[in-house]
Order: sequence, then structure tokens, then C-alpha cells
Amino acid sequence: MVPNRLQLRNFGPVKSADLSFGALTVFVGPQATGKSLTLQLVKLLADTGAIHNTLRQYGVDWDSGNPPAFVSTVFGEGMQGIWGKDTLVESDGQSIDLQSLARRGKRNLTEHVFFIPAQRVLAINPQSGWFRGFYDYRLGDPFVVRDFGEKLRRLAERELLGENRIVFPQSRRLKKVIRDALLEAIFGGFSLRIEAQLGQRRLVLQPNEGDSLPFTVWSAGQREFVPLLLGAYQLLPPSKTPRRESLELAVIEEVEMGLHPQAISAAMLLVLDLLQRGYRVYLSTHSPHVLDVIWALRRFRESRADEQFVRSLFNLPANSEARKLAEAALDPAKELKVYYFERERGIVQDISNLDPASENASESGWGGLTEFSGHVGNLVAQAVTNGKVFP
Amino acid sequence: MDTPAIAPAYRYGLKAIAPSDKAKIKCRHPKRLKGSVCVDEALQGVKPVDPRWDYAIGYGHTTNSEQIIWAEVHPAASGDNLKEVRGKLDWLIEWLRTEAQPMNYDPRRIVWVATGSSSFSANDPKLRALRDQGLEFVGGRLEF
Repeated sequence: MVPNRLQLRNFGPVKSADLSFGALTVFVGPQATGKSLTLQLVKLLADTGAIHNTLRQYGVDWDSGNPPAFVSTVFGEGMQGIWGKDTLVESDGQSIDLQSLARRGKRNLTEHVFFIPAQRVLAINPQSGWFRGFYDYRLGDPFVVRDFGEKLRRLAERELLGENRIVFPQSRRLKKVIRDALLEAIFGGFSLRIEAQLGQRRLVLQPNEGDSLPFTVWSAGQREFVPLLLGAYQLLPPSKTPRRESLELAVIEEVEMGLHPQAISAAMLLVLDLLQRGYRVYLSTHSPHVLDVIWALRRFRESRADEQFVRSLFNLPANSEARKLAEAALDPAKELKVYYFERERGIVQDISNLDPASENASESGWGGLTEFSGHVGNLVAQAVTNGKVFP
Repeated sequence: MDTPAIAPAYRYGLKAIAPSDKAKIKCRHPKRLKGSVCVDEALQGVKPVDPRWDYAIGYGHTTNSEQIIWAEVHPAASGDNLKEVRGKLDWLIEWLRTEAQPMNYDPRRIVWVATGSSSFSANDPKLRALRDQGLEFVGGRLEF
């Protein structure tokens, strides 16, 4: 089960946290404050059996009686210290014992969480332009990174090798309004397709005229986004089924990576689509643009604004598909939560209200994401007025 | 605060700040506080319909570092509030220029302290335009 509430003490850099997840939950905070570890912990708690099964399937062994070894197998090399003797983890009020998580045995193999890691660019081998499978990573790489690469490889071989081998845009994949936004903001009108060169499959971008472009010449944003898009394909099946099998939660780390603000908006449309289909979505971000979207949705809801505000936010057309997407984003039952992972004290603050006038500087500065911009603006204001005689 | 129209309203420390606004204005070094004036109240009789500014606060560690902090405690909930504060800023500049010349050259900060929830994010372009005119937006609390 995906936890609704997670309480942590002394877990990695997190000294204290009490997280109540919403339908859309966003983690912000400086580097190395525990955002990614916490998201990986959610995956471990929800999918223990599936993780054990995958590790076994790929010949990864760990000593059941040595829980720290299991921690580094899951979280990555050097991470065994994040879960120590003084660590307390409570999931929905139930204390979690690391020993029991590490123990082999008969478990439920159902997978609830699809994890799109920040290191998603590693899912494509730059030399071959094709996907890395589980075996193609180092043993010390985090489980979620290896698992993601393997899932994309399987998705490509199972679902993307059709006749025309066009990966994007596909008429059966994604809503048209989202396809159009992605095509314009991220792909610049190019299509993404699979071609074979000397018998080796590879992903390429294809302009309307001229030669195809291999992975190494794509823009940084395109290299980062394509694995995210394919992760979304895994979550958004091409049929009329809204969700894939047992998956309930999509975790997307640093959704904005490498993207221009216009492209971030397009990527956030994918998040809205996931919400509309009933997924929970947990994001981490360093982008004030992502929090702008969350803030706007919160205020639109509070003001009982109608769906046209959401369409205007994302520059969506006035058609039925876009209206339904926008209406779903305003559904008050889908709670929006924002947590700030603070470095100094190792605590996690609920800053969901995102009020720029809050007396709590962490909330008004959006966990540091707008603090600098505000500080710059105020320094400019001081420089403009200080000591000046108004003529 | 060397201006006849407001001089009688001068109070030591932050005593001129209205009780309802006190929690929003915090001085980290009270010993550096000179005094304060509620400009709004001081000029109510002579300029009853003007969009008067709220407070002037004298602050500084040494004579060289003395400054006046012009603080306006005002809602930031809508574009109308933005226009109101813009109108007050224009009023303040005009008043300093024409009627409060002794205070027109002092080192200064001009600050908008928000009440209630804000509908402007810290990086809102509309706020940036006001900052370009010399007005700081400090959110719900002014600390100096």
C-alpha cells in the first residue's frame, strides 16, 4: 500500500518529518536534504515485494541478516548509514522495522509506484541511443534508477516497435492538447522515432525534411524529457483504460530538468493528466515555475474560479478535452501539498499554502525558490530609492 | 522626522505603530531604533481624502547609517490593492518633494508589508515594476 502518512526521525539528513500526502505532493529544498531518499522510501514501503522480486530476477543478492547491506542495495552505494539504530519510520501510524523489510520471504508482488528518477537521462545509452536495461547499470546504482531503465527498455520492445516506429507524436498516446503543447514547447516540431542503423535500434529526432538526429545532438532538455515522456507512456496506456494495472502513484523527480519555463508548463500538463486519471503524483522540484502552478491551482480553488483560468494558465484551447483536464485540476478532493526540506535543522515544514505574505519566511519564500528573486527585487528597490532626492 | 506637519506625532521606538500592525513590524536591534510616526494619522486632519502613507520609522546604528523606513501595511490580495499602493507611493513621493523636503534626501527604504493572503508571488512582474520604482515588497513581516 502507498502510505498516506509518513513520519520520520533521523532518516538520512531528515531529523524530523511528518508528511501527509495529497493527490499532488511536491517536495522542495536544497540539495542533499533527503527529498529523493524520502521518495525512494515511499517506493520501498509500497513495493517491497516487487523490489525483492526484481532484485532476485536480476541476480542481485543481499544478506537478509544484514539490513544495512539491503539499504545500500536499494538506495545505492554508500547509503547504508541513512537508516541507523536511531531511525524511526512510521507508515500510516505503523512502525516499520528495517530487518523485516530486508528479510526474504513470500510477499505481495503487486507494484503500486512508478518512479521516474532525477537520473533518468541515464536510461538512454548515449553511444547506442537505446535503453539501458537493469544489467547495464552498476550494482551500486540506486534501485529506482536501474529499474526505470529496465522498464523503459521493456516498454520500447513491447509497445513502441510498431510498423512506423514513431514514438512521438502518436495519435493514441496522450491527449491531443498535451501532444500539441509538447510538440511545440519541447520537440520544436520534430518527431521522435526508432530507427535501425547497421541493425542496431536507436532513438532519433526526425525533422520534417532532412536527416535524423541522434541522441547526442539533442538539446539537454530533450535528452532529459524523452525518458520522462516514456515514463508517462508507462503510466498512460494507449487504450481507453485510464491507468496501468496496479499502479497508483507516479513519482517524478525534478520534473523541470533542463526545460525552458514554457516547456515546464507543457510537462506539468502531463502531471495534470495523471491526476485526472486518478493517479497520485509526488514531485520534487527546484523550479519556482512548478510552484507557480501549484499556487495558482490552490488560489483558483479557493476563489472558486472556473476551468477557463486553468486553460489560460496553460494556454489550452476551449475544447471538451482541455475543459475536462482543467476541471479535474480544480477538483477540491485532490489535495495539493508542498513540503520544504530544510537543511539547517533537518526538519520538513508543510508550506502548502504558499502564501507570499506569510509571516513564515519558508512559506513566503516558497522554500527558498522565490526568496532570491524577492531579495534581488528588494535590493533593486533599495538602490533605486535610497538617499535619492525626489525632484 | 524634521517636518512640522508630523513632528507632534513623533513617538519613541515603535510606539507610533498601531496595535493591529505591531506583529508585522519587528526590529532585531531595538537599541538602534530612533522613533516612529504614524503619518496616516498625523495628516488625517489636514489631508483627509489623500491616499496617505502609513508609517515613518527612524533607524540607524550611527549617524552615518541612519535611515527612514517608510512602511505601508496594506492588503496584497488583488490588482486593486496594487493600484492603491501605487497611488500611495506616488502620494508619498509628491509629499516628500513638496511638503517634507527635510526628509526628502534621507537614506531610506520604502516598504509594503502585506496583510492577509497575498495574490502576488515574490517574483511577480507587477511587483518587479513597483520595485523598479523603489518600493520593496516584504511579504507579511518587516524585519530590520
